[in-house]
Amino acid sequence: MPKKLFYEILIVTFLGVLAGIFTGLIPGVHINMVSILILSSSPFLLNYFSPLSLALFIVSMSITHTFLDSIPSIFLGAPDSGLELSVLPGHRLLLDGRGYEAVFLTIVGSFFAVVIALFFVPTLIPMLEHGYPLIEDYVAYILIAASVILIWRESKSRSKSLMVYLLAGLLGLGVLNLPLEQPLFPLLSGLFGTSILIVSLMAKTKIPEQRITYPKLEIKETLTYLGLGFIASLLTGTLPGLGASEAAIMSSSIKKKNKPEGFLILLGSINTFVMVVSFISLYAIDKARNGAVLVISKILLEFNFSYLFLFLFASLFVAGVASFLALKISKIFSKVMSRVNYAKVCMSVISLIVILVFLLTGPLCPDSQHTFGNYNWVDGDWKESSYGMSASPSYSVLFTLSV
Amino acid sequence: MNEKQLLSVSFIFSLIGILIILLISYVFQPELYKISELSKENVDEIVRVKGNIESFYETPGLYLINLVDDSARITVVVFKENEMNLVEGELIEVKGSVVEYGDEIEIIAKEVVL
Repeated sequence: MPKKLFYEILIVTFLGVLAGIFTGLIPGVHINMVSILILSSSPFLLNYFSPLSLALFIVSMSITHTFLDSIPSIFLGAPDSGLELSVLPGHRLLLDGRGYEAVFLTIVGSFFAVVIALFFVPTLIPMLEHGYPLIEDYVAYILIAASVILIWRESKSRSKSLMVYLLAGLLGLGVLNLPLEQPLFPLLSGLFGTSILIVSLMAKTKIPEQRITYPKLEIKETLTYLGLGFIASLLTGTLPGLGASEAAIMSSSIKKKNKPEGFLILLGSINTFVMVVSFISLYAIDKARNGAVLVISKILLEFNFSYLFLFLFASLFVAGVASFLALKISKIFSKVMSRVNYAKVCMSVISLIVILVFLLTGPLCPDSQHTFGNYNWVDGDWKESSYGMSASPSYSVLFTLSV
Repeated sequence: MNEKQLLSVSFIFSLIGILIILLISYVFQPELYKISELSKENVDEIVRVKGNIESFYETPGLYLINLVDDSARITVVVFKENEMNLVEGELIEVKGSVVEYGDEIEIIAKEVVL
């Protein structure tokens, strides 16, 4: 008979998958937000669940999220914070009646990202353990260099890019200093969700009849994009402030003549690679590079190899389940989207985001004290964090730059 | 690659994932401590301890067990889910989280193996 622990793992994994469907499909709702809500309610939740279960819930939610968040970004034109780059290639296929194929490509990227990352774990751990101390003192310079590269590659509008970069920095500083419990939710859903929905509404986008088509993938080309994604994720998984979109821009610059199909594989793979690599980084260099992993480190206190091993294979299991779910949900979207009134769908999503903003930042917030931002639960009290978590201004700066 | 092929591959890897999780659940155990090795630094950590029941008290909602090994003594709190047949002097293994109560540390048991 399987042990009680096995059932517990299965139950929390499935609950995490359900939460990942929710965060993945609703634009603007991010796993960091749910993770921080779990951390803030952990004194209560720990009466019923073990710390391992809570952490595993976050792991399966995070992995599922990376498989599903391409669906709204492609079908609704409302990308999530890590996927704003997929709007162009994804929409190009959508407007060609191949929205399902676009989602299929991101799923191929995401799924093989988990398999490849797992395959390279024995190499990655010593590489991070020995490589990170060599660059640790130069992280700030590397980030400045990355910002310069991202601005410089906008060859036709460098001054505008610099202006956007500085404005985004000011926006980040301003918003994070507002007396709000959840400043990131209204910030990110406004920047990446509502804005694009409003543009879609104004453009009176008409979604053509969708067909179920499959990409003609050449193995060599697919592997090239997966390889690029893997290298880029090593940067974002170890350095603070860099996200999936910045990684995609930089890695796609390496390869000339990017096809939209290849770019979608790249974007899907980076999104998932970053998540898996961040688990490995937490173990190898004790650094949490996104909000979800930071919460895992706070819940588990000590992140040992057994936890990493379990999380990686739970990710593999979840990757299969999430691929199935993402393909089925995407098929439903394909059938429904051309028949429904696109303007009404956009309006409904905007209304949902507005309601969620009021619920999560207003008086109905479950924890009215420091549930987000740079605060952590330490020694029975919320204390300001010294971690470079995703709430840092640099994150907002680089994120907004990539729009 | 089409949907059927992708789903077949993902099914196989999912199966490998779940089989390894099953294997882990058999070997995955919190660290076994001697009672004297536990301190306030272990608060919130899930640990295992082995010892003999020195004495126990039963209330309507919980059992309070005084557990001793050859190094020290600790109070173990077990919330009642089922009736337990505790016998003084019996050797038990407790898996649970370390908590601070007053100035002392205790273990809130999640699993008691008699």
